[in-house]
Amino acid sequence: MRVTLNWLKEFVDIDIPVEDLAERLTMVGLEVENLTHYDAGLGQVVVGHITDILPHPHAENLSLCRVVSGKNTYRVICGARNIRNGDKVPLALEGAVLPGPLRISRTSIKGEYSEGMLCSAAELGLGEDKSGVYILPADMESGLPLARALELEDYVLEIGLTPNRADCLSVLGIAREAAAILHKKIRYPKIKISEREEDIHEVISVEVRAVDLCPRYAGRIIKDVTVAESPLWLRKRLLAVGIRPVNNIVDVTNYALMEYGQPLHAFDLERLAGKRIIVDQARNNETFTTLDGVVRTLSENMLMIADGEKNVALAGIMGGINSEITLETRSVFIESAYFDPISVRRTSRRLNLSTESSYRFERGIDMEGVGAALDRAVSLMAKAGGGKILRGRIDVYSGPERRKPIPIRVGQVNRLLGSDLKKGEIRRLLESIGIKVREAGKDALLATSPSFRGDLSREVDFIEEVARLDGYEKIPVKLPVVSLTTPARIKSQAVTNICRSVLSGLGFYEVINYSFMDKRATKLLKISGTDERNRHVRLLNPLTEEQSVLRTSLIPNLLSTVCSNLNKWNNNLRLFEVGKIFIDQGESRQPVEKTYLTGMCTGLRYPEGVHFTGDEVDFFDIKGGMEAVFQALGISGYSLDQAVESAPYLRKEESARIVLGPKTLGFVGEMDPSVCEGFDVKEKVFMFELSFDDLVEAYKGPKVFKPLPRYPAVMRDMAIIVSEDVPAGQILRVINELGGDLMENVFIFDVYQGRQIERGYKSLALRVIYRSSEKTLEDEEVNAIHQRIVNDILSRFNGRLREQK
Amino acid sequence: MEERLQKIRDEALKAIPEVKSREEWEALRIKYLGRKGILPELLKQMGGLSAELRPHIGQLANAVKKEIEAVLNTWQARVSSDGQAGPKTDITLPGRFIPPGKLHPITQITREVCDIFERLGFAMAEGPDVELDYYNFEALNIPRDHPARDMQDTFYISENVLLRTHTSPIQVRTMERQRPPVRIIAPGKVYRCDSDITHTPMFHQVEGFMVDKGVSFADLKGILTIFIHQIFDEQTSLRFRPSFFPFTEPSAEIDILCVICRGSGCRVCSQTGWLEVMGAGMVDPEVFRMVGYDPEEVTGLAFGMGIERIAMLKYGIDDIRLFYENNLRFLNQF
Repeated sequence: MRVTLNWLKEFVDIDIPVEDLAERLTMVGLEVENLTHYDAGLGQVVVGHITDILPHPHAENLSLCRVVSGKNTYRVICGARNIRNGDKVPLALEGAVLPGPLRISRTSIKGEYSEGMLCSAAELGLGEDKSGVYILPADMESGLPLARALELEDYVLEIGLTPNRADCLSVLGIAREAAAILHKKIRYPKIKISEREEDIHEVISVEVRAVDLCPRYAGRIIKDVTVAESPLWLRKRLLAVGIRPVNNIVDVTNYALMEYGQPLHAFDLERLAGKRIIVDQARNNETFTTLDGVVRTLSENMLMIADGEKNVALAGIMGGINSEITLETRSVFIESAYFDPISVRRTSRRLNLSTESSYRFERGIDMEGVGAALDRAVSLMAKAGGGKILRGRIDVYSGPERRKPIPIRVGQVNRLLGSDLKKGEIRRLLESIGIKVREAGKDALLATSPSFRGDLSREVDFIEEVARLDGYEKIPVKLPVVSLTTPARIKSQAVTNICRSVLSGLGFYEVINYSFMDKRATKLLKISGTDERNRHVRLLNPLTEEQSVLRTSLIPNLLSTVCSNLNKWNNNLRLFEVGKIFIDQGESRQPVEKTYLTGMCTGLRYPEGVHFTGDEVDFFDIKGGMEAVFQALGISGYSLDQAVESAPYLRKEESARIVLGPKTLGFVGEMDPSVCEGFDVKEKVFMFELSFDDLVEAYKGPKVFKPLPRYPAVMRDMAIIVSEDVPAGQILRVINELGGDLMENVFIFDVYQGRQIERGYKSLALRVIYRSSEKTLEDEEVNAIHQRIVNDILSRFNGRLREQK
Repeated sequence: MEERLQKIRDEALKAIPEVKSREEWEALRIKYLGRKGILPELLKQMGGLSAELRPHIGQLANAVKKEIEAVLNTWQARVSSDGQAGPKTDITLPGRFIPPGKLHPITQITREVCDIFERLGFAMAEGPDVELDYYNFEALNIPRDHPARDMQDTFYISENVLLRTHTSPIQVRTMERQRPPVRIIAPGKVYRCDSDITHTPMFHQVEGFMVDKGVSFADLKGILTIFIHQIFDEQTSLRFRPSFFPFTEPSAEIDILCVICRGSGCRVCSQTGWLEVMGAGMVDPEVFRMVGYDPEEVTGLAFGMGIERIAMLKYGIDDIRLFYENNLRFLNQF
């Protein structure tokens, strides 16, 4: 909502600087988002005084003027004939932008330079006269900005209104607030109407058939108007608040709309068939051409204004082209009505047509203000366009509803605000914005809201008014006194924190991607039709095709992140994300939301530099990241298998499924290069994805202390040769089973395939650590166990010992 | 035994200063201190001593061992710095470490915000990203066909299912489950169909609320003043400005003095000197009625903020889209 300072000043005495006014309005909830100086587009145009006129030496029809403006003197070339020495004239200087637009700069005309331009009224947008320079009154002070000299200067306050403050969608509404802030009285416009003998009721009849959608319909008629351009004051004021002037009739309806917040519509009376107005709902699939020239298809719940034969307006939204005001219009019927907010909103949304008018009806206008705005409009119309106002006005209205007084408890005001306001202060604050207040016992008041404040219907609404008018800054700053409780912890939060710190410690960067993805993404991952990840949740109104469904996997967006980083020369990447995926559960149901932890890496294993080799990451880097997470969470006993049908985006030869008990925890492996190509990634990429929800479930929370070892450990190594098809993990598992209480740990410290070993076999070197918690182990004891284990392994896996040299 | 120790000591201290090279030095080290060296071997024989002697000799043996070690160490520096043996270390070369990764700035700020409120006794809560119209709007006093719906551009899945436009549905879900008193802090992703330099279709909010007997607007001011001072700094001025949210009454917006121009007016604060950082208010009685709380018995305060907004102000980031480009050079800075 835009208002100008001068417009406000018509209704309330403002005796503080405009900057302060803006600040005070903001602090009562009318946020002034912008305060701009309005110069009617006349920046850099000043009052000049011609002190000399010489002929142009090279052009007969031009003259060379010396123009004084304030302390400066300018040389200006002019082609007009009507100027005389000593005239006061509008001088546009370098930098001025006149309507047109015409940008003024220093130029040279036929060898002589000119530092500005003397302007006609038309060139300044101040009138139609373009015959010569606009000669100003002789007593105007030279050097003044022209806008100030012509009293066109103003300030525009752009106010961001919240949806509850429909009453402030008008200059008067904001003036009311300003009056309350400044402790002034508001002056409503004085409306003078000189009516003719002829009675409106003899000329037109109005029938409201849909009373619930139109509880009040009023109108007046003005005859013998001359449709023309509006006077300057009217045009400039509309322009200042951002409305394009059209003609005097339309401009006046807009002016009254801005002033009162009451939308009005002017019909050409001669074009209303049968001199009747009928307010009723439309018929299905009727068409109607609105003022903007668009043909609209109606449906039966839309409220229409019709004459004796046809629809003439979309009630409260826009008039029809068939009854609009034209230059030929002689008689005007002006409508001022109250239309149901919900009905207007629905129609406006249905037709995707929002106007100044519909915006106000949707938010609810002042039912009691319908008449005043109408009278204001016809009086201004008579002033701006001549014409005669018919006697009386149409007003189809059952009369005002009695508004219920609401009890306001002083104790409740202070309880909610934490303040210490007295009854008298509360009363004064409420009355300052037109609320009627009566005493109701020792600690209570009865408040009745004015008709323009439909948003005040409960005690708490009035309490808010008290708080904002008194000023939020006056409410004390306290801290609540509450009873202690133990806030519950969310287990998943603890688990995310662990995962995040482990992975970032290993050099992984956390990323956050959108929850949306391209619906083609799962196809690029080669995920088959029946997989649940193809059950996409679709947005009804996506921003782009690439963000049209909710993601069913973190992989596509992560791969895109890899791609965009590679394109920016960030080549060595370790990334992870903790985020939700969404599986559709059918129409009108919330999808299942699952959380995943997914990591990816590509590029060099170590930072480039003096200490490290330039090796690239491989399967074991990503697997290591995943194992670190498991270790930190105390998850053990999982196993890997190579059945990865459900992860078709991984390369078969180097990928695994992670199984814990009956559950698949996730997958790890190298991305299938052809999948990567679908995301424009040509590098090798390794990834793990883990069901975060399952990690949370498997997380071993409380830790239990085991006594530290008191006796020394004994180490035994074994080097065995087995077929390369035997997974090392299986051997380790068997050793773990066989080891018993005395075996503390076992690990592989070397894997060898090559010249010294025959093809198809590999050598594994294992170290087993034995320790007893009760005594120092004797060599013979350990040897016995170790030998048993070695023999068992060799026979189970069909291996042999590698000969020591 | 004691004599033997003394003799070993004297011999060693005489021999060590004679070393000429690193190899000689190493040989001496092994002779006296190596796994099968003189001293360790001697110590192994301690078992044979009587119980009275053992502590005394043990102490002495250790003292001798320490002394020899110390002298060896002194002479080690000498043999290597002579330049004859052992390479000199260029201490200006970088240290060896694998640089740790970083957590996303959104994660970092969310944690910071939640930590402050957890210290004030608020419990964490979460809710679904895909919400029902009821929780996102109706239960928060935003009926269908109400202009307040225009305040947020909503992504719809179907007529009744949508992507939550704020974290406020968590208020309703929590209150449906739990009787007062409640103190909740709830972070999460939210969605609005909007995309430009200051808007992304997905962003993060943190919602907080507290319901108890006698909670007042003054308490809201107190809690949020603490919060602003902790998340920015103690010097940050703030103001409470009347505003409107359908689910709070009275409602407020919280502005802080512009962190860029300190109030004198600049592009970031659109010349106002203030930056809006949070919305807040007292829980509307209508919301209490929807969850079966008695507004005559309890009152509540509620507040919410955009994490990106806080992060942008704290770090001076001027384009919100950077958060979701996940460029390593961006992530690396936090």
